Amino acid sequence: MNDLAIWSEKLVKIYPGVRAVDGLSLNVPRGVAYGFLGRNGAGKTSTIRILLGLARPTEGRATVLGFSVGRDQVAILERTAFVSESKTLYGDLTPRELVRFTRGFYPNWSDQAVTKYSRLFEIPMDRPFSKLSQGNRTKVYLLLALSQGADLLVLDEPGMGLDPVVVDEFLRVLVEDVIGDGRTVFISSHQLADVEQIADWVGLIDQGKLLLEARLDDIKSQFRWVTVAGNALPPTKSPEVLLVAREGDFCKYLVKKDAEAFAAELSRQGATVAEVSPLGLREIFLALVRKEEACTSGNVGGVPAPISSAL
Amino acid sequence: MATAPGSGGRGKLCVPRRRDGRALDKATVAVYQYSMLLHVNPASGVPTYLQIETQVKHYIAAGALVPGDALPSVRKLAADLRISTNTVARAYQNLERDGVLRTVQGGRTYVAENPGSFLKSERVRRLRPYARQIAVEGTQLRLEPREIMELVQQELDALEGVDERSGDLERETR
Repeated sequence: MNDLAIWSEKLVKIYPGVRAVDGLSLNVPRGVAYGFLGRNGAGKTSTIRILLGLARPTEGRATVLGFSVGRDQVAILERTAFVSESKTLYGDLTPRELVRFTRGFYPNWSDQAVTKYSRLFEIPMDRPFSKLSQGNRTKVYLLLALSQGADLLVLDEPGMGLDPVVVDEFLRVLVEDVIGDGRTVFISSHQLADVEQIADWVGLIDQGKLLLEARLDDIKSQFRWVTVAGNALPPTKSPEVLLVAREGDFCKYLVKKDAEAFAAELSRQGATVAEVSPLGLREIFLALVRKEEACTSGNVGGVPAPISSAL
Repeated sequence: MATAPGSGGRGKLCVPRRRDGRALDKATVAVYQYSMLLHVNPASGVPTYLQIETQVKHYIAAGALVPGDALPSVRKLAADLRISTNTVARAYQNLERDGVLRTVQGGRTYVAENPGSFLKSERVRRLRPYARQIAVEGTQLRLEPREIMELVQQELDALEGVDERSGDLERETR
């Protein structure tokens, strides 16, 4: 048992020929908005399916709201609202009928929430689901998820087909009614700007592995690009340097903390530090999931001594 | 980041009115006003809680917020800015710790009575990290000491300018 909203240890999911999830250890605190990010095929949806009991992990274990995945599945589903990536419901039913069908499954269901959010999102409650636009289908999912009174909302690409006004309203609802209530939002989305706006924590996954998990504010106050001109130094294997990229005559080091000290050390080694600059979530995402070209001393007439490992 | 009052925000709170159409009382208008004053740019490299802290301090320094002014609740400001309530709570807590804001029982948050009442040595101690940062960054960017000082002077002058403008703002809202 633990006090995390989601916890996993060395989770592995192997589909024939693919390691979709490859040793994933997640720590999602309660009461936060957590952005779960990664490229298509990175393993996000596979992870979510395991957490919700829709797929069995090949290895590893996990808890959701303190309940063991696989063993306490009913307890997890009662307390977790899920908006899946593929939005297919019973097509002949209208949203009103879908509400009537769904409410019985959830002990904390709120009819007040149904009234509030169906008005807010302007959902046509009496038109069959199959006749709804993609945006309106998404809204029906959000309506059902928000009305469950869930302690954890798991949202897989929730913004699909929504116009910017509805997305904005939805963000307000998440902040005010869900996180403001101490509940947890676990959101997987390619809309990095939206995630960056509301997320407290981010987890970045690539090829089934977790590349980064941290508080977004900590990332912003510590992550820096250190750009070096001319006499670039060989890439160091310091744990603070996440990667090294080359752009023309410049070398860029992505440093995850103590960037000023790193830059000062580079200067002492004879390099010309052009800039130490902060970066946003989008830049971090692109830098970490792309394979950057290594910057070696040979490229730019390097400096003999590598940076000391004392850094 | 330091823009003039009213220049940012979403501008959707301009005409605060109650449902029955009557105008809101003065205190409520002030709260709406401040919710609109604050704005964040989540895509920048600056942590969001820090952006809020800096702006609140800026408005106090500029006289647009005065002791006793009520700030929006954590939940309200978070909802207006579409940022996590945890972020706003962190900013408010830091500002309280610094003696800039105080929260009374019941949860309302106000601008503290004497945010400048610390001993001078304490105020200098708090400012020193920023001074060091300006010195380091400025030198890194190979600016002359004279040019760095000029920049700081310009910012001080700009603050004076805001002070004058915020005088108008106060007359409008009070």
